[in-house]
Parts: sequence; structure tokens; C-alpha cells
Amino acid sequence: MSAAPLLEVRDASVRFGGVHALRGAELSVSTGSLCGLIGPNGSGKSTLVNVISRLTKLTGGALLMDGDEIDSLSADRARAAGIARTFQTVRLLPSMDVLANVMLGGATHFAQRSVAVNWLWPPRRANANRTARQAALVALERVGMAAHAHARPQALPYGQQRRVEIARALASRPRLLLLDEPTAGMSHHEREEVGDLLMELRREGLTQVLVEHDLAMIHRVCDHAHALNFGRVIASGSTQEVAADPGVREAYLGHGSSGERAQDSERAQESGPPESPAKVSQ
Amino acid sequence: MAIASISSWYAGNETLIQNILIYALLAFSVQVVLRAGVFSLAGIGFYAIGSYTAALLLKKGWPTVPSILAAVLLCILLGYLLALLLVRLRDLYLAMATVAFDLMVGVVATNWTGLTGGPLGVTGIPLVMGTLPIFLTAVGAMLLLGLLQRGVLGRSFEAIREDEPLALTLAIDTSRYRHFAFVISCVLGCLAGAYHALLFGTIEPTDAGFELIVLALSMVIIGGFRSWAGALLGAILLTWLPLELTSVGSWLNLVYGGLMIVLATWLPGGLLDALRALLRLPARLRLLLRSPSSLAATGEERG
Ligand SMILES: Nc1ncnc2c1ncn2[C@@H]1O[C@H](COP(=O)(O)OP(=O)(O)OP(=O)(O)O)[C@@H](O)[C@H]1O
Ligand SMILES: [Mg+2]
Repeated sequence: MSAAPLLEVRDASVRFGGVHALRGAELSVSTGSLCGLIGPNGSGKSTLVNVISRLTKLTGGALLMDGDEIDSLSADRARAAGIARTFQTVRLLPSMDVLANVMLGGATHFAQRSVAVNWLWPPRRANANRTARQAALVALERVGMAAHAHARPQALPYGQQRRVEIARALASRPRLLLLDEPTAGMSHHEREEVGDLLMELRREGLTQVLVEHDLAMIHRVCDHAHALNFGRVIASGSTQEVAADPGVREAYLGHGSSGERAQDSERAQESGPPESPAKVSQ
Repeated sequence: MAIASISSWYAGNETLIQNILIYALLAFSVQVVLRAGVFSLAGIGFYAIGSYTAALLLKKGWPTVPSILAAVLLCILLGYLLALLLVRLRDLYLAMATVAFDLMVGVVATNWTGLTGGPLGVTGIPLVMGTLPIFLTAVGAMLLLGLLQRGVLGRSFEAIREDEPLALTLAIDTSRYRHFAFVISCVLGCLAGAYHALLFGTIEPTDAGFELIVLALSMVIIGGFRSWAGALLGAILLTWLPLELTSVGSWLNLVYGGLMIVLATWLPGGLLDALRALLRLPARLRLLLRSPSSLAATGEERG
């Protein structure tokens, strides 16, 4: 495994009016690694994911992929360049079935080309529809949702919707996969399965950033982790080091211990999707 | 016999059919942007621009096809520029700005007397247009709009409408797609206006006013904005209904209003959705008779 960083975030800051969501966050994700991102509520994890996927602009700092600055890239270009993501709250389109949702993830190359030609040139249309369909079916198979290809997403249980989201991100064969709490609201068993999937993807060389509250999960699947608090990275290193870091312990204790957080997510499974306090940022 | 009765029916209803076709083009112009989540009513302004351009060129002695083509090209150019100007506006703000644009076109048409004939409008436009070219244009538009709403391309527009940030993360350059839909809308509005002028021979600067904006929008909302078929349904209904309901007179607006409220409340997809549900009913009943439990799964489908 190469140690060269695929992604580097340098001194990133993001301000929303008076709110400092990120203040000088530093992150380095080496090629092929599975990097965990932890932190209490509102610490800036989703904002960081939004920054990397280019949905949110940096107010300061730099973002590098393969050593090249990508802070001026638009979100659609970022996806075309291989940065795919899932969302903290599931964002599948209710007007189309699961397969069609995932096909949109598998047509990123087509989406970047001229709309007029895509519209009027039959071979290109046909080719795009066929390849997107194949890519979507493969991705659905991977996440174990192939049998539900023709279901409406809103008819599926929450955990399955999340897996469809992962499939949509995988369908374009990304180089970097950003997962914003992909197991929130899942049962223990489902969570294990998603963990297995992420480790399998890692073995195939896919670089991933995993935002996760459950430290046990981080510990099981990640190579290394970063802990965020108040928009800063307060600890990074191996998952044990980060979990043992006094700053991290304090950050979590200040907002509830890690044990309570685990219970939080248990409760979330029973009561359905946790409503996010900052919906706009996801 | 049958042919004779069809042709006599046609002779009696030719104007109605022409109107339906022209209004269908105008309704398409609103539908194509609404489907992409672009709340633009600029098509009505381009209806006016198209009608004046084609009519004035024709009166200058230009042949028919070049006059219409020139109008279309002008609308593509102006539509492109207008879209650049309005690129940051969304939803209600965009709707307001495009309505303002439509009304401004009307003001220019009324006051630029030297070019447009001012408040009197344009008369004596050569009647060079027949039903067939309009019919063929409308059919062509349906085919092309059908392509625009099918497959991955069609769903990309839906993604933009339903969740624009998500569409961005799917590598869809949403501003380019929105821009594209906007220009297509301008062209369709332009064609409707040009055909109307060349078919009926007169233009008044008030033709493309607030009433036409409301009418076109009503057609699309009542018929259904998700497909060109909904816009067509709305155009047929709202062109034909006033003729059938002449007895209700000015109460007609009450009928429209009531219909709009009912649809907005229970059928946001318009009458097209109701029609589709109706067509699916036999299949659903058959399914129910075979295995009652399976309905639960498909029953969720419409959400
Ligand atoms: N679009 C926005 N506008 C204003 N404030 C925002 C926006 N997005 C995020 N914030 C604020 O920025 C801070 C960081 O939010 P963020 O969503 O990144 O936290 P998080 O670590 O993902 O939290 P959680 O665990 O709840 O998901 C919060 O205080 C949040 O309220
Ligand atoms: Mg978050």
C-alpha cells in the first residue's frame, strides 16, 4: 500500500455567518486507506465531507488530491474526478425506483458531456443507458440489494435505503469514497455487514473516509482515525491512539461518553432515522 | 362515409385544433422548464418576440421558413443571454423575474411604435401558415421532449428538480442543464407565437400578457408538469372547455380555480397522474384477485 496521500486537507476553515464550522482542520488520507472520522455533534464532520465533495466552499485553507489543488473544482467535476459520497440523511429520489437511482450514480461520464448531444445522438444515449444499467446492477449486487432493484426507495427499510446510497456512490467506480454515518439507524447485524463491505472495498484498493459515531465500528474497520472537535482535528493516528487521546475523551465526555453515544445510535434504530440538527449542511 | 364524417367534423373544428396545437407548444415551453425545476415563465415573453419577429420579417417580404427560422435563432440568442442574467435566481424569485420579463416585452411592443406598430399591433400579416406544419411541429416537439424525459438524461433533470445539491454530487452540471432547459423553453414559446401570428394574421401587444401567462401555467399544472403528455392534456382541456362552457360565462375562472385547488391538494402530478392511475387499475385489481398480499408491496409504489 502506497503511503502517498490521495487527499490532503490543509488548514481548512469554513464559516457560515457567525458559525465557525471548520477552523483550521487538517486531514491526510493515504491512497488505499480507510480513514475514520469521529467527533461530537456539530464538530464539523459533515462540513468536512461537504468540503471534500465540493458542496461547501472553503473560506480558507487548501484541498489537494494527488498533490493538485482542487478547491476550485465544482461538485459535479469532483464526482467526475472520482470523489463519490453518501449523505448523513438518505437522499434517494422518491420519483424513481432503486435501479434508476443507482443508474444516476453510474452515468457520471455521460452527465459531464454536452446535453444537446446526449439528447439528440441516439448511439450515445443508448450506450449511456446500457453502461449505467450494468454498473448499477453490479453495485446493487455488491451491497446485497439486487433483489430490490425495482422497489421504490421510500418503500424500503431505512438500513436498505442506506445501502442503496452506497451502491449509487460505488456505481461510478470512484477513487475516493466519503461515507457520512452510513450505518446510522441500522441494526447490529446490518452494521456488521456494511463494515465487512467497507473492508472488502479497502482490500480492493478503494480509499475511503468514514464518518462514524460508533468507536467499535471505527476500531474494527479503519486503519487510522481523525477526531474533530469545534472544527479542529484534535487527534489523529491509529484508532487506539485516537480513542485513548485525553482530548478526545474529554470532547466526548463533555457531550456524553462514547458509551452513551453507542446507546444513542441503538435508540436511533428503534425510532427510525435520527433527525439531524443541521439539515442544511447535509 | 366515415371519412366524410371525419372531414366534416374537422372542417367544423379546424380553428379549435389549430388553437390546441399552438397552446400545446406554449404549454410545452412551460412544462420543459418546470420538469427541470426551473420555475421560468419566460416562454410567454418569447411567444411575443417570436410572433413579432416572424410577422415583421414576413411583411418585409421574407419567405415563410426563413422568417420563422430567424425568429427561432433570435430567441435562442436572447434566451441564452437572459438565462445568463437570471442564473442565480431560483423558484419564486425566478418566476417573478421571468414574469417581469414577459411584461417588459409587452411594454416594448406597445411603445416601440416605429418597429411594432405600437398599441395597434401588427395587421395584414400574410396568412402563410396551415394546420399541417403546426401539427408536424407539435408532433416533432413531443418526440424530442419524450427523448428529453427518458433514460438517464431524463432522470438527471428530475434529480435537479428534486434535489439540486444531490444532482451535483452525481456529476450533473446543474447550471448547464437548467440553462439548456431554459433555452428549449424559449424556442417552444417562440414557435407558438410565430405560428399564431402567421395563422391568424394579426398581433396585438397585449396578446402575450398576464392572462396568457396564467393560462399557460394552468394548462401545465392541471395537465401535469412531469411529462409533455400532461401539458398536451392541459392544453386540450383548457382550449376546449371554454367553448363547451360558454353558458357559465365569467364563472369559468371559478371552474379553473376550483380545479387548480383540487389538483394542488390531491394530485400534484396533474390529471395525467390520475389518468395513469386509472389505466393501471385493471392490472392492480387482477393482482389483488390473484394474491391480496402482493398489493401491499406495489401499493407503496406511488409513494
Ligand atoms: N449550511 C449551514 N449553515 C449554517 N450553519 C451550518 C451549516 N452547516 C453546518 N452548520 C453548523 O456547522 C457546525 C458543524 O456542523 P456539521 O454538520 O459539520 O457537524 P457534524 O460533526 O456533522 O455533526 P453531527 O454529528 O450532528 O452530524 C454546526 O454548528 C452546524 O450547526
Ligand atoms: Mg454530520
